[in-house]
Parts: sequence; C-alpha cells; structure tokens
Amino acid sequence: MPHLNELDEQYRDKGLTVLALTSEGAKRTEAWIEAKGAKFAYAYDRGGLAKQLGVRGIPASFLVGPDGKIVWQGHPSGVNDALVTKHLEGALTKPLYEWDGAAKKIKSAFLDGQFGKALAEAAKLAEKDPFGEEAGRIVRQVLESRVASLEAAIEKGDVLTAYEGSKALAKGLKGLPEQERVEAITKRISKDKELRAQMKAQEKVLKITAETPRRKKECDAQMDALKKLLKGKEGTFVGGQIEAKVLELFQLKSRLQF
Amino acid sequence: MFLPLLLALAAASPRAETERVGTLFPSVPLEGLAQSPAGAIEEYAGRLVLIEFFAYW
Repeated sequence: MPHLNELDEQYRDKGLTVLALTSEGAKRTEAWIEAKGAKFAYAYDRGGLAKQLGVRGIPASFLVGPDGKIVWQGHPSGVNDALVTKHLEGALTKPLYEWDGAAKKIKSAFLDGQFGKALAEAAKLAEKDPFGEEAGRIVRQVLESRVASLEAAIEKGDVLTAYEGSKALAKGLKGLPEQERVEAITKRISKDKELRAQMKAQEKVLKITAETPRRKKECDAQMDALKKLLKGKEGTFVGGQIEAKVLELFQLKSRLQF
Repeated sequence: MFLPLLLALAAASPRAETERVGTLFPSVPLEGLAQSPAGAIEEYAGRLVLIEFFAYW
C-alpha cells in the first residue's frame, strides 16, 4: 500500500488518479486506512465490480486509460514508474472535478451523457480559452471509446451489452456522426431474429443468476436451469457466459457448508 | 456430464488475467467514495486511473 501513496503523490499532477476499492466492512477498513496512513481515494464495491472484472484474488490492480479502456491488469507488484509513465500521455492534468467557470457546463453535459452539448460547449470555450480544446479532445476520446466498444460487443456476440449500451448512448448524440453508428447497432439487432434470440438468452442468464445462492441445492437449481439454457448455444458468446456462470456456481457450491 | 467441462474451464482460467485489457472499464456505482474531491468515479474520466482491489486483512 505505501506504493499507492507514492504513486499518487508523484503522478497526481501529471494525470494519474489512484483509487483503492474494497468489498469489506467500513469500520475495519477505515481503521486500516488510518493506521496505514493512506492518503489516496478509496471506495466500497457493493455492486460486484470485482466479480464483473473476474478478480479471483486480492490484491488485484487495473490501469484504466484516459479513454476509459483497461490498458493493464495484474498484481500490484507489477505497477511501476515505467508502466504509469507509458500510459500517462493524453491524460487530463486537471481532473473534471476541478473544472470551473465555463468548463463546468462541459463537465455537466458530459457526465449527463449529453456528448453533443458537451462538445458544443467545448468549442465555444475554445474560442477564448485553449482549455476548451483539451476538454473537447477528452470528450471525443471517451465518446469514440464507448461507441467502438459497443461495435466490438456486437461483433463478438455480446448482443445485450451492445443493445442496452447503444440505446442509452444514443440519447445524447443528436447531430453527431456517432449517432448514426450507434443507431445502426440497435437497428441491426431489431431486424435480426438470431441476434434477438441471443439477447433474450443473455437476459435469461441474468434472471437465473440474479440471487447469489446460499445453499448447495440453490447452486444446483441454478446450474440445472443454466444447463438447459446452454443447449444449442455451445460456442457462442452467451454459451461462454453460461459456462462461466456454471463454473462460478460449482466453485461456490464447494465452499458452502450446507 | 458437466465435470470435464468445468475442469477444463478451471484449468483455462489463468488466461483470464489479461482478458479485460482493451475493454471498457465497467460503469458500476461505488459507495462511500472518500479522500477524494470527486463526487463520483465518473469524475475521473480523462485521467489515467490506477485501481487496486484490497482488503484490510
């Protein structure tokens, strides 16, 4: 953990943010944070982020680039100066929460997903302040990353992510070229029976596994339902999701007492 | 019937170590963000963010 304090101090003004996450209780965590003299930001993962990322052991680290994509993952011992400096290029030296004056309007629109409005405000600011250009660059970068990610999702068969993500993103893209790209994704899914069937299967997986089992027989019930759902979907993206969930349940069952 | 499949998946799991590289970091709400002027994790957009999952034990 001392390495996080050092990295935070050394690279904060150059564009790095350090964020520690835990799913443990607040009381013991706060005591530990104080005892260790940790100065960096920390928060509580109560929404299953670690699980979603496939974290299998603690500690585990991820480096997320300025465009929102994961650029590195591994054990914290692998985080060093060379790794950080390699990925600092293009990172905002002035974080969003420090944007003031006219830049606040850009930030507000951006956080609301109103990319069109954010870019318009950035262009307006750029006429009198070079920071407007940097702000616009970051907004564009994040937007491109999100659109590309949705296009990649549908290509690999993650239809549900592509569909829900596109519907949500499209709302703030009026007049932007990205609007057409995103609407093309939802149109394609709406017209394709096979894609809709895959999406429905993904929704069913989420429904079956909504509750974390607390007993062995609950694990069995979920595994049986997933086994039925898997028929005919082997080798597909949703088939892979089902197999991964079954493995998770198998491992959970082995840890449960009853 | 599933056992060989599960054993194969378990053996393959070390590959998961790098499989998230290149993908978008998920947007999941976090609770109790502390020691940060940010109101939410979304305010770190545009920054290089080093995330470490830890535990007090």
